[in-house]
This record gives sequence, C-alpha cells and structure tokens, in this order.
Amino acid sequence: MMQFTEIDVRELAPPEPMTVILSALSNLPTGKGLQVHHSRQPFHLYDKLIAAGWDYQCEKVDENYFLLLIFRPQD
Amino acid sequence: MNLSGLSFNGLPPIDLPFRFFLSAPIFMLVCAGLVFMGGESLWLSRWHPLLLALTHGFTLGFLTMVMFGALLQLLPVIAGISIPNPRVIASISHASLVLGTVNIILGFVYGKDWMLYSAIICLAFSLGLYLLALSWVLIKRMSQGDSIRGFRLAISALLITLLLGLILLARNLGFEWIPANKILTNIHALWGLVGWAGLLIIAVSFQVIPMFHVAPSFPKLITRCLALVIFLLLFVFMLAPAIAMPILSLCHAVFALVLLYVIRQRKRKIPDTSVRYWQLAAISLLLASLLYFIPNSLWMSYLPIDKNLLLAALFIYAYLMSIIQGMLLKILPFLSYTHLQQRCLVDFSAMQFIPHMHEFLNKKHSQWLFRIHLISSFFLILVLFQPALYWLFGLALLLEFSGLLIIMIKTMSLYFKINKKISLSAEKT
Repeated sequence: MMQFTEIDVRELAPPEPMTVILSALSNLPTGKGLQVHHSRQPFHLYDKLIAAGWDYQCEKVDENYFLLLIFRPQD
Repeated sequence: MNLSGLSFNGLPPIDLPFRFFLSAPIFMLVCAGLVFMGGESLWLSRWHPLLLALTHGFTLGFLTMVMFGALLQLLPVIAGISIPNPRVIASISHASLVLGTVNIILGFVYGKDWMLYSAIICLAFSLGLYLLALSWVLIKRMSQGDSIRGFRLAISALLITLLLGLILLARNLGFEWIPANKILTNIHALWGLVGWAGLLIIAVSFQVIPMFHVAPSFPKLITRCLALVIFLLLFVFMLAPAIAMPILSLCHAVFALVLLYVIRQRKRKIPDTSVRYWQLAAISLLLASLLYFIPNSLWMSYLPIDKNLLLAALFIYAYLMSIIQGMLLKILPFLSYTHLQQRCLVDFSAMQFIPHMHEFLNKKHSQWLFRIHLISSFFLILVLFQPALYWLFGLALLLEFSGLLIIMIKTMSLYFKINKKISLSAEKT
C-alpha cells in the first residue's frame, strides 16, 4: 500500500499553500505520495499536476475542508 | 465529492488579464481630464453630459474593465472553470470595450451621433461576446456554490444593464422605442451599479475574504440569500421604486456590517493594505445605506446638495472603486507569483528565480496609494458641496491613477523578466 507524506495548508493564505505543496512534491521520496489537507480545491493546480506527470484525487471532507492525494500514476 | 481525474481548465495566459488591468487606470486618467474640462458646472446636475461621460468612464473604463480581467483568472482559481478560447474572446472583447468606452465618453462630451452609434456597436459586441462566453461556462459548471450563483446573477444583471443602456443610447439618436423619462435611466444605473458591479463584488467577497485573509466564511444565510434578494428587489424597483429602495439599502447595510465582522475575525492579522480598502468600502457602503434613510425634506433643509449624487459618489467611488483597487493590489502580485510558480511543477529548481511575493508589489507603495485614495474620496465628496474645488479632485485622480499605473507596470515588468529567466534556464538544461 502506498505511503503518503502529510501536509496541512488550511491556515495559509495564497500563494503559500502552493509553495508548500511544490516544495513537498520536490522532496518526496520515490514511491511515496502526498496527502494535503486544504481549505479549498486548488483547481488551477490540477492540469499542471497532470502535465508534470502526477495524478490526484480530491475529496470533500467537510465545508472548507478538502483532502487531496497527489501521487505518480505508475505507483 | 470526488474529483479524481477530472479535467479542469488552468489559468489563461497572464497577458490577457494584464491588458484589462492596464487599460483601467488609463481611463481614470481620462476621467481626471474630464474633471478639469468640466470645471465647476460639471457637478451641478447629474444630467450634465460631462458627468454622464465621467460616470461611464468610472463604470465601464475602470470597474467593468478590471472585473472582466479579474474574472478570467478568478473563475479558474475559485471554481475550476475558464472561458473557451480565452485568447480570442478576451482580445476581442477587450479591444471593443476600450473602443466602446472611448466612444461613449466622446459621444457624451461632443454629442456626435456617429460616436454614439459606434459606442452602441462596440459595447454591444464586447459585453455580448464576454457574456456569452461566461454564460457558457457558468451554465455548464457542475457546482452550485454560492459564489457561482452570485456570478450568474451578476452576469444576468449586466445583460439587463446593457440592453437598457442600448435603448437609452438609441433614444439619444432619435429612436423612441420607449417613452422618454428619467426613470429608465435610474433603472439602468441601478442594474449596473447594484446588479452587475454590486452583486459581483458580493459574490467575490464570499470567496476572496476567507481565502486571502484566512477569515471565517460568511454566514450561510447571507451567502445563500443576499444576492438573490437584491436581484429580485431590482425587478421590484422597476415597478415600485419606493418599496424596493429602502429594502435594498437595508440589505447593503447588513452586508457592510457582516463584511466588517468577517474581516475583524480574520486569523491573519498582519498589516495588509487590501484589508484597509475592504474596510473603507464597507464603511462607505454603510454610510450610503444610512444616508438614504434621511427624509428628503430634512435633507433639503440641511444639506445643500443632490442626495442621489452623494449616494452615487459614495457607492461608486468609495465602495466599488475601493474594493476593485484593493483587489487589484492583492491579485496583481498573486497572479504574477502563481503563474511563475506553476512553471516550477515541471522543474522545481526554477523556484530559485522567483522573488518573494512582496517584491512584485512594494508594501509601502500600496500604502501610499491607499492614502491617496482616501484623499481623493474625500475630495470627491467635498466637490459635491463646493464645486469650485473640482481641481482638487482632478489632481487627486491624476496622482492616484498615475501611481496605480506605475505600480502595475513595475509588477508586470518583473513578471516578464523572471519568466524569461526561467525559460532561458530551462533551455540550458
């Protein structure tokens, strides 16, 4: 089962969540995914993630609380 | 809601919103020219042709111009949607909006028929095309979020404003489709200011305040009902203005109070000029809403100015313009940073070229701009009492919007410089 590194960006104002996500992705060990606790859907990130070879899943947990999983498709 | 693998439209190229943003302060400089040209007499009646030109310079040249540019970028960020063929649609609607606004201003100033004909064609084309493109995505959008619903209402209000405006312009050219009276102008103005600009700002605030300032969400009752109630009241106004206006004023007073409350509850209490703009806007809106309730008889005895003119000045300049300018100062560096940052997904090493977000817009510059905006708002109100002081307002406009233009050019230049640096670095590796 894939392991995920967890980050919480719910209390950050734009563009900090994106900076934290990018930095976490760049430091992610091979085979690991990233789990992001977010206050909204980072829509504008999605097509760039796909373009960069990542895949994602986003689930609404609650009002203003989204769980985003980012991983490599082959993993 | 699971959105795995769905395709979302990304941000449109940054030069598209930039061209709308850059045009806006230029129109305000034209407005400053109108203030000097009109002199003292401009402020004596709301029907003065130069005042009509000035109002359309503010509302089409600045407010609509910035809102069109901002929507191009805000929709992908907050709703994951983007208009189709953004380059074609934004380029055409921007060019025709610029031409239409120039023509409507010149048409009012010089009274030439061909200018008004040209304004009708350009504005109908520009707004019509943009509305069509936005309606396309807003109808398709799966989410029924409160902001999306607010956008739909604002867009519908813009369509109604446009149609009424075209009828009014056609009447100026001798086509009397509807009996001439000033009520139609009031309806047009209210749909434009309260419907299009007001509803859009309300809908945007539901997203932008919690997102950028880490503030709590607006109360559910407000986000679900306020925009719809205002929209319905605008229809009631067309038949029974005496019933609709007090309720509309009350709705806006409630919004202003809730806005102040939500801003106060924000978690990020760091000094932020855009927060000051929102607060100034909320206080001005509250003031305008309360002033409306002063009975006309009392007003005429104690205040020697046109009540509608004062309320319009507070609503357009101190409320709408404040928010739009505050948002510009927030989204200009944010967009520049975000666009560059997205390039780092492919190559993280490019992050080294991106400066801190504050370097895109110097905090001190935005603080100065806010101070000048406070002064220009005060001078506008002062001019209504003392029209001979029109030159003070004209000078403040010149200073404020030259400053905004310079700030924008600096931010955009830095963006293009860094973008080029990242491209060159990518070519080398």
